[in-house]
Amino acid sequence: MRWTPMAAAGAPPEPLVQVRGLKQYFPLGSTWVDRLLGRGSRWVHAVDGVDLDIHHRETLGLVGESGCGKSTLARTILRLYEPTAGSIKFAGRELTTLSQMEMRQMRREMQMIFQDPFASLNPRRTVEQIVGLPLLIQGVPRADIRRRVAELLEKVGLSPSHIDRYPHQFSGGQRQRIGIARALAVNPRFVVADEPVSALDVSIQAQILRLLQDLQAEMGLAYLFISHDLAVISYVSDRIAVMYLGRIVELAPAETLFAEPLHPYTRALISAVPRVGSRGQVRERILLSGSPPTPIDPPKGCRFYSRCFLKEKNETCRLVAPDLKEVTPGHRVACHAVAGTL
Amino acid sequence: MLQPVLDVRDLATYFFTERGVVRAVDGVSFRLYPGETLGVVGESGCGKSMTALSIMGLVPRPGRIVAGEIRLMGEDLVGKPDRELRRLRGSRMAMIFQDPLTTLNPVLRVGQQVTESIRIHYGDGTWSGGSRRWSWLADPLGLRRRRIAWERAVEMLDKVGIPAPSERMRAYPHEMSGGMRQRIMIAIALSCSPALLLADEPTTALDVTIQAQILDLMRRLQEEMGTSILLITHDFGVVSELCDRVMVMYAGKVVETGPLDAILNTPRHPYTQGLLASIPRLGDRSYRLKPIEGTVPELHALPPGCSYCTRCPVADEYCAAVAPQLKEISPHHHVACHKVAAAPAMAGEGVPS
Repeated sequence: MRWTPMAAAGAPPEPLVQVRGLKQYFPLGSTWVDRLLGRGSRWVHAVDGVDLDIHHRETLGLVGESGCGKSTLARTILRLYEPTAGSIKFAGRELTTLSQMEMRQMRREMQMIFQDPFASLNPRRTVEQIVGLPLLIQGVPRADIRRRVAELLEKVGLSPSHIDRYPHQFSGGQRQRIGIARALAVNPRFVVADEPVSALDVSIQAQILRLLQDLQAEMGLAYLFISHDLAVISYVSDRIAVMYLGRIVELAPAETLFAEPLHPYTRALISAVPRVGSRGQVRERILLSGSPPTPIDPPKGCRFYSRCFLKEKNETCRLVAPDLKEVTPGHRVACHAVAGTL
Repeated sequence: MLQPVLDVRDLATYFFTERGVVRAVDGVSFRLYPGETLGVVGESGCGKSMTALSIMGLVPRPGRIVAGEIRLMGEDLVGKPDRELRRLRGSRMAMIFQDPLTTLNPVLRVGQQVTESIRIHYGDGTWSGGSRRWSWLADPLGLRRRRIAWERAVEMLDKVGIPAPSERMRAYPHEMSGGMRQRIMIAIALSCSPALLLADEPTTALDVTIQAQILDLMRRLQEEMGTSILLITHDFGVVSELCDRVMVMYAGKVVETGPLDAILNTPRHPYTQGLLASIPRLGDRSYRLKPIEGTVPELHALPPGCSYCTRCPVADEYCAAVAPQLKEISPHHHVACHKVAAAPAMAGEGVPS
C-alpha cells in the first residue's frame, strides 16, 4: 500500500503556503562601461512571477535544471531572500510584510534541509549543539534541550549515544539525518528539502527518502521537495511543478505529469532521463539542442522559445509570455500551443 | 578468438596510509573487446575510479599497484616507466572525468588544450594521422605539425557538435557551458583515436537534457571510431543506455559481472539486487523503495570473508569467514556469492559450460 497523506488528512481548502506573483531579481553590479553607455544596471531574473500552492501534509516536487531558480524560489518562500515582488502567505498570514522578529517566530513552522551534508553542518559543534540550536533560539530551556535532541536522533534513525560526536565522525547519510533532525527540532509544519539526496549514494539515498516519507506521515509535514532527479521527484511527490528559467511551465499531479506531460520542455525532460532496462526499447526521445538562455535580462516571450521543437511555435511565443493555464482539473501548463492561445 | 583491447588480471591497488592498508582495488579481473562498452557500477569508495586510474598509471600517492597485469593491446602497463606510459596516454588510451570545469585549464584557450595531445603524438608512431615520422629536417620550425594539429582539432570539435569550431578554438573554458566543456573533453580524449576510452562519471555533473546529448554523442562517436569504452558510473540508467556488459563493484572487488540484460533482469548478487531495488522508478509510485541497510564498511578494516556480509540479508557465519570467488552461473554471467553458487540455475538459463 502506498502511503497517502492527502487521503489521510482530507486536505482543507486553504493551502498551507500560497505564493502569488513572486519575483526575485538580483542586481548585477554596473561597471563604468555600463554607465558610460548609459545602460541601467542589469538584473538576474532568478524567479520571475511564480504562483504556487502547497497544501497541508502534501509533497510538492519542484524539478528543473541547474540555474532555473528552484533553490532561489524555495529560499524566497522562507524569506531567506527579500522578494522583489509578490506575496507569500503561510497559513493565511502574509510573510512579506513581517518584521524580522515576527519572521523569526514564523520560522518555527517552516524549516529547511540542505543538499550538502558536509557543508551544512558546523564542523566545530557537536550534534547536541547543532540540533539544539533551533530549540535554543525558540527559547526551550537548556535543561530540556539534551533530552529533546536525544529523542530527535532516535526519530531520524541515529543512536542517541552519538549526541556528543562531531559531524566528521559520521558518514554522508548519517550527516543528512542530523540535518533532518535539526529541521524537525522545532516541530515545523512545512519543510523545504533542497536536493536532500543528491549528494548521497544510491543505497543511502533510498534510506533517506524512506525516512522523509515516514516522518511526513508521523508528523503531518508538508514538503517542498526540490530535485533535479526526475525519478526521485516522481517517487516522493503528490504534485510536481516543472520550472524553467525562473518560471513554472507545468504543474500537475505526479501520475498525470508522467502519463501525459504537455509542455514541450517537460516532455523533453522526461524523455531525456536514462532509464534502467531501456536499451533497444522504442520510445519517444526528444533531444533538446543547446542549453537554457541566461537569466540575465531573459527573453520577453516564452522562456523556452529558443529550444522549443514544436512545429506550431510562432511570433506569439517569441513575444508574449504564456500564463500558467489550467487545461484539465489540477493540470496547469504555460504554453500557447497547448493552451490554444496562439 | 578476438583479441581484447584491455585485459586486466588480478589487479590490486593498495593505499598505504597511517591508519592501515586500504585495499582500494583488490583482485579485479576483466576484459574489454574492440568496440565494446563495459559499465563499472558501484557506490563511492568501491574502487571503480581507482581501477581506471590504475589503468592510466595515474594512481595518486600513497597508493600504488601492488599486483596484477594490465594488458593494453597485448602490452603490459604495470611497472612501465612513466616515459613509456606517457607515449600511450592520449594516443592509445584516454580518459574523461566527471567535472569538465576542473579538468580544463582555465587560463589556456580551448584550441591549445585540444591540440596538445595531437602535437605531442604527431609523428611518434602512436597516432595513425601522423604516421609519417616527424623529423625536424623536413619541418624545422614544427609548422607543419602545428598546422595538422590545428586542423585535426577543428575537425574534432566539429565532430563533437560544437558550433563554429574554428572560432571556438580561441575561446576560454569559462566562456562555455558545462555541456560544451564536456564535449571539449571528449574531443581532447578522442583526438588521437585511442583504442580505449576511460569515462569516469562523464555525465554526473550535467543536467538531464545535456546528459542525454552527451550520451547520444558518445554512442555516435563509438560507432564511428570503434573505440572501446570503460564507463564508470553509479547510475544504472546511464549504464542501460550505453553498455553491453556490466561489472558491479563493492569494496574493491567485483561482485557480479555479466551482459547488461542479465544484470538488470536477473541480478543474482544480493548487492546488485539491493542497488536495483534502491532506485526510484520514473513515474511509478505504487511501491516503496527497499534500501540497503547500513553503510559501506571502512576499507582499511574489512571483514575477512565477503565484504558485503555486514549489510547482506542472507549472509551467515560462513560468509563472514570465507571470501567468495567469482563463479560463472550462466554464460558470461559471474557472481561472487556463496549463497548464489549453492542455488541451482534458474529455469531457462543456459547451463554453464
